[in-house]
Amino acid sequence: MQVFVLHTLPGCSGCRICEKVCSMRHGGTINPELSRIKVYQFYPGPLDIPVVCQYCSDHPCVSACLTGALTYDDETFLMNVDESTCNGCRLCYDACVKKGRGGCITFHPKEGYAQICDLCGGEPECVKHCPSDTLEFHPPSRVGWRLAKSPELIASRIAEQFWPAKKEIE
Amino acid sequence: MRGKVWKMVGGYAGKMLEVDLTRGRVEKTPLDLGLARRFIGGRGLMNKLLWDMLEPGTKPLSPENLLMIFTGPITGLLAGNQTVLRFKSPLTATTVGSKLMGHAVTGGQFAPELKFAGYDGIVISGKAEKPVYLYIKDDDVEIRDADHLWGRTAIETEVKIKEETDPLTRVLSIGPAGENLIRYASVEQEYFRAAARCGSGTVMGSKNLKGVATRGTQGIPLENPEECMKLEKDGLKLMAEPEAAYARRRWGTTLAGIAASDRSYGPLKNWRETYWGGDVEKAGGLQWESRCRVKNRSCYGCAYTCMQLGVTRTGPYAGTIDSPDYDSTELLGPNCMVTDPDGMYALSAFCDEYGFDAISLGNVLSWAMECYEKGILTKDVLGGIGLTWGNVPAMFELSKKILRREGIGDLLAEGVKIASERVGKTSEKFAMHCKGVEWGVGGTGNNRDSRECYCYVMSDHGGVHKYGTTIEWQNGTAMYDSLTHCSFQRGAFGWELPSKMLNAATGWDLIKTEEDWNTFAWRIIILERAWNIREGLRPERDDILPDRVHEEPLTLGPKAGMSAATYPREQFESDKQEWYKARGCDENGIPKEQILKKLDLEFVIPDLRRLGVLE
Repeated sequence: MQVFVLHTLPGCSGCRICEKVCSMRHGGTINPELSRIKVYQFYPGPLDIPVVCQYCSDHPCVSACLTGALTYDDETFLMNVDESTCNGCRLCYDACVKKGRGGCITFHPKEGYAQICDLCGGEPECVKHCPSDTLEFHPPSRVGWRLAKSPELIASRIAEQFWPAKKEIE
Repeated sequence: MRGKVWKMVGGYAGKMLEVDLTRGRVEKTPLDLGLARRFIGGRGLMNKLLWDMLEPGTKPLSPENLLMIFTGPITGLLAGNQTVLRFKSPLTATTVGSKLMGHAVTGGQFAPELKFAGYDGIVISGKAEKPVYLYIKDDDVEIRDADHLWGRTAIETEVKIKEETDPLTRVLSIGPAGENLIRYASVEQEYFRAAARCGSGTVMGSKNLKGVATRGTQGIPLENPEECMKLEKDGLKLMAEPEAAYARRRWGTTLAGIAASDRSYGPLKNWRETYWGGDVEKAGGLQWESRCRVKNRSCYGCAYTCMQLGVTRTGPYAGTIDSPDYDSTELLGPNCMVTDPDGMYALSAFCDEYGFDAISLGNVLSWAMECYEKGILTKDVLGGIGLTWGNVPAMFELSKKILRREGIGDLLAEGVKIASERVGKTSEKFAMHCKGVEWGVGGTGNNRDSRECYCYVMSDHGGVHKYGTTIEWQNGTAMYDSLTHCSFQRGAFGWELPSKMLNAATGWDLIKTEEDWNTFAWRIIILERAWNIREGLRPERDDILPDRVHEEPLTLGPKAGMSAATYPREQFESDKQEWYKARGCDENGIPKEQILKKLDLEFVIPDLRRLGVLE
């Protein structure tokens, strides 16, 4: 299963309610840094692009983890981070980005351990509260990795739809 | 006065930044929680800080002026996303030229980010030797060189600062208008948001401060997190109610212009008329939807998505990206008789890029157009510009002259009050401002019959558009600006939800009833008035409306020829007295001593006595 992000127009409004409810669920407080979903802004626009784990079938992040803290459970289909084992080395993040995926893993601002979407055990809070209906919850996709793209790339593809707004700032 | 209490409490970050640009010094000081309990935060708290920290009679563009940028106790919670700016305003002026309090508000993402970085607010004083910007990353605060940014547009500045720091940095910046000290320059945020009114950008420019950037990772301390989470969910549910927000979610405020014209309270032809007739179809909000709209955007934590983002697709202005709202399009549109929607959006985008207050610029242009029509400003004086009604290229040319302070632009850069006083020839009669600040439209507009335009008079920040026309409304705005929460939710949330959130976040139980709510608001509003009186405001002399409202009846639309077509002076006088009375002021508009005592504002009494205004 995955949180499916509709990268289309009008799309995400940039309210970051997803970040808020995610941090409420996982950290018991309001701090977007604790969120597993992250909204980036790009110019021209601002175009708001949410990035969240797409549950790629090959999960390069898991094979990059040297401590064994990041695992994928074949039975529950969920990513799991063992927070006490994770040393915050960011190899998982680097592997995700290097493969051209979204770079969806965030790190706890104080403890440093990796944070990754766990689908809230089957009822993702972000999907429940998204006011612009940009986030959906879908059965597992065979092509999860195809949807996991860097936010820059997604933003530039959406901007293509904005003819002729090509503003370059030197 | 500061630092007496040093104890963490939920809701507040607990400290503020004091930045002295002259010495290049940054100091972190604890927030005085005793003051916070009396003045909440944001607007209210800054009133008190201005009272304590700013010498009476300070010149607005001198290094001694203070620029305060604050959040409040529920910023980051619910749709708490407003950054409130206070300063002594270079645009305001009483009839004898005393400068008053300046107030500007913006939504977007800046305020929560500042709170997440661990600060309730920033107090900026002094003047940097050369251009700088302030970068706040949690505990690290730097005054950085901004030579390479000076002269750039506000949008470019924001993009550049994000490149230099972190893509998630939130930036307040000024454009060339602020650098050139145009009196109505704005502080811009997130490309198309602005804390524009009263010359906020001018004050920032006078300090050689190009921008303030912040990035925070610390979250918000909460006294009672479970209760806060519950209230958050309540808020999300209320915002999701379709009947509460359908129009706002789809069209934002762009459709309001059509309603304003149909119901005859919009601004038209430099506020001469209120009804635009069939022309509203040529440039009203529905044009935006069909021509330009790309998507809707939200500020932090808000489900209303009321910001409209779009791009002009064809014609001479193709490629212009803009996010217009009711105020910018009304003042640059019908008020200047512009029927070309693309031109109107391009002018609004120009304001965002170069850092003008679109409301003030619209008023300045419409005033100049009327002067041109009446032969008061000739083509020669205007530097060869034929400034006819609705002439967008001419408006652009003149705006660029203002930006460079070139020829007549130098005078128009001072705002309609000063410009009309210098030009004379009865042009003061149609200079639409209160206390120097040009009229905005939001919510009230040209509502002569229901006498709502008197809110521009009661406002302590001049003719601002969000002050409110009833006591209840004004209290609401004062409180929402102090909690720093968007006041668009006022209809759905009322006084109750934000108060509950304040209590849950701080654990203080400050506001339990509507009466508590109103008392806090009353205190905040009366302190503003007292501060202005200390600076030279004399309400019986300065609380006045432009002559046009009293003397020139409407000739178009449903109100033409009715008694509602003007606002008689006697009626205005009695409405004013009613307001003074409701606010506990005497017939001269001075707050009464027993009211000051009741509101816990005794500290203003000695100053008011010294001025001889208080018995």
